[in-house]
Amino acid sequence: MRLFQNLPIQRKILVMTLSICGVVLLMSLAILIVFQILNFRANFQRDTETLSAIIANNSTAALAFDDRKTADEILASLKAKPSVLCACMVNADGDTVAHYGEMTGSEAMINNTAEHQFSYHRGRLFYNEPVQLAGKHLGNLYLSVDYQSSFNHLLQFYSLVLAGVFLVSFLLAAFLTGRMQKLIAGPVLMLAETARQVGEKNDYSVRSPLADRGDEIGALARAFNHMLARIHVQDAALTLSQEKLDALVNSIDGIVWEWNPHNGQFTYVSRQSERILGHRPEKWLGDAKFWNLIVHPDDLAGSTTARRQATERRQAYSGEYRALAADGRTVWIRESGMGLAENGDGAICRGILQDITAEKNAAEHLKKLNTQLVEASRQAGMAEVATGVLHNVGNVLNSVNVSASLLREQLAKSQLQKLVQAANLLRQHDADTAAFLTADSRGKLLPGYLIKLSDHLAAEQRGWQAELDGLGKNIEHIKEIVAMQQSYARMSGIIEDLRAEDLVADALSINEGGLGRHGVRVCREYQDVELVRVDKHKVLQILINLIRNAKYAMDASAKPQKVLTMSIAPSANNRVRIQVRDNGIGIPPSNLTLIFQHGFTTKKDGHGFGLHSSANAAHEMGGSLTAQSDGPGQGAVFTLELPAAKRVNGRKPAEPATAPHSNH
Amino acid sequence: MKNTSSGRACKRLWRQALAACLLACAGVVWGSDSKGVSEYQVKAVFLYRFTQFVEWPAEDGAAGDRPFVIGIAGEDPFGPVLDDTVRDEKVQESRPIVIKRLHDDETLPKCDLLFIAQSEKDRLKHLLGKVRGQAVLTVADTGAAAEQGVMINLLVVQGSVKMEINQEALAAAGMKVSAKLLTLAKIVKTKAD
Repeated sequence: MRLFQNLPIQRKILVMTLSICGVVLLMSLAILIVFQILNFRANFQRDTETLSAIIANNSTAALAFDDRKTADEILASLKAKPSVLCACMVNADGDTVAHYGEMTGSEAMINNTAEHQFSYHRGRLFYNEPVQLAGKHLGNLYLSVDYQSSFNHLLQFYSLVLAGVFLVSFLLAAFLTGRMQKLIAGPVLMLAETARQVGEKNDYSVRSPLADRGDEIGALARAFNHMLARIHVQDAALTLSQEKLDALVNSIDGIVWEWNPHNGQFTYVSRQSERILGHRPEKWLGDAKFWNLIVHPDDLAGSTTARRQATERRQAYSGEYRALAADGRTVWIRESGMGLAENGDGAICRGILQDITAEKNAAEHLKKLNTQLVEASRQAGMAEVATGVLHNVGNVLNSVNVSASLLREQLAKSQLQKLVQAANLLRQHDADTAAFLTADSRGKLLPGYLIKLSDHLAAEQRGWQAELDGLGKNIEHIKEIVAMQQSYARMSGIIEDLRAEDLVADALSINEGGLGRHGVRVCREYQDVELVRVDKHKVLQILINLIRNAKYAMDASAKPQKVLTMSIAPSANNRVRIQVRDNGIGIPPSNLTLIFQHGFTTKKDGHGFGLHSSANAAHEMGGSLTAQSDGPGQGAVFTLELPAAKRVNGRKPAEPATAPHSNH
Repeated sequence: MKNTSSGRACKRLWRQALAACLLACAGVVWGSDSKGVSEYQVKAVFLYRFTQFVEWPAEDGAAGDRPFVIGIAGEDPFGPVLDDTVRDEKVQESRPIVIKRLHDDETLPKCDLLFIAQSEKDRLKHLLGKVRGQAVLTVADTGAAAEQGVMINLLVVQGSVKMEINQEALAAAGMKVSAKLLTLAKIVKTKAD
């Protein structure tokens, strides 16, 4: 069957035609031969019967008159029929009247064959014809005929006929097939030639010229041409699409790749490989070990495992490692990829390699910068706090100064000198004190004077005492302010559960001087809230910053009434919301997001990292800092959300044992 | 099974052997006196056979079952042989055969077949004259009888009986003789004297 498949069509047609012809001929000849053989037998018997009847009829007289010579003559006429081997005429008495041919071996058959019966023995046909005259039995004629050789002749004849017919029909079939081949195989070969042209030259504009035929070949050619037209269009579209895709893939700032997990080889690497690493894509595609060679040995195992695992789990992954560029540079690479199922069981991994060297360097730089910034921010915060502290201290010092001046003036105007004069008077009259007091005119006045003076001095001392008490209080206040600042400086970085109200109060107290100086009215809208779990220093820094900003915004606006509203309220997600609202110049919508960016400031002398670092600090504590304003002149609200302390068995955590309080 | 079939074969063989023996014996007995005694026996059969090979002219009325008369003119050489031969035989399917020994010449024409014995050798012409024009098959066994006008003459040549047929005589009587018979016989013509 396989052999038949590979035959050219013309051979197939030939083989098929010959097979069909052969089968049909064989069938018809077989039927014919069977029929002929049966017919031959019947004919042969009938011939023998007829011959016997004729001979018997001719022999009646010879038998009737027992004329053996004539009988012999009659039988001798059988010579004309060579197939008759022998004949024998027997009269009614059983005497052999005449015989013809060689009788040897025939007697038994003759004796055993009944009248009008045939019997076959060793290729011979025996027949017994009774000879009758007017209904009377005269004798029998026995014939022995060579059936076998006649049959053989017949077979030979038919064999020849069969062979002849086969030969002729095969030749005819071969001839006709040869002619037909031009009709059928010819066009097919032409079509094949067209297909070959298309295949070899990739020229889809070729068309089969057979399309105008009306038969199946024509239909095939039309379908073929149609297919070519479609392929032509699709090929163009595909080429365009391919070019686009190539352009797209190769314009991506990264090496797009495809990796086969079975052999660990890259099956696609985009052109960017050459630009980013200086390695031509062909190097990757040709060598499974290439990637292992260029990846930093410390990163190789990790990155390989990550990719293999992601491919097995059909997951996306991303990793970074160092790779060696062709010029010896070390390039930081970020590999992002995804394992994908392909063709049922198979898996494949596709992704991109990006050069993140610059990013890495920038990150490094940023990290340094950030550290510096944090330090600067911290220092700035400290300075902020210090400014507040100094301001407060300054205020108190004013009172101290006033008290001191007052005391100095009072001391200057003190009646104490008069006591000294009285004392000196008494010292001069040390010897005659009594006389003096009793006799002298001035001495007589002296005790009354002293009494008055002592009353006066006592009153004066009470005044000084009060003044000094005030002074002492002020100095105590300064001490407290300084101690508070020291406590914030010390407590930085420690997370505590604190009352939001206390934190707001502290922040306000630090800014108290500034707020008072600028005539700002402070409103407090406090709701009962959970403790907040925060770094006190950071919160205070944020709040001081916000309050200062509010004060600045209100200063900048020409509004006569400056109101700063501090509100504390519970918020969603187990948070506490502290809002700082002012009625100042407001924030234009375009700046609402910018204000949190590093370096942004609207202040003439601002450094721009106040809100930025405040937002960072809020974020670090698990909170957030957002701004909201209805626009310029509409004031602004800064919302600081802080995480509430975790509830323990549904109860508030214990109140902090000590909370910093500002006394003012 | 084998016993039965072999037994049967044995019986058949035995029967065949017996039949062959009887046949042989009969042949020997019959053959011994066939030459001498059977000359007229053969001739008697011949006479009967002639009725089968000769066609008499059609009669006006149907022959029906009118007896077929074989007349013997002169001294009967057959004795009872002829009677034995034709007993129960029929001519033309239905006619019984009657044998008449004729002594009166006038009854000759009433025969269908007239055998002229050797004793009437000299009266041959006379007898033939009596039946001339009649449908009577004349048979004789005298030498040269056929040349004298007898239709069929029987002769013994080399120990076997041979025939001479005078077709003219047959034709003259309106009778036809089968070609088969003619092949066996010697055709002779009437010799004018």
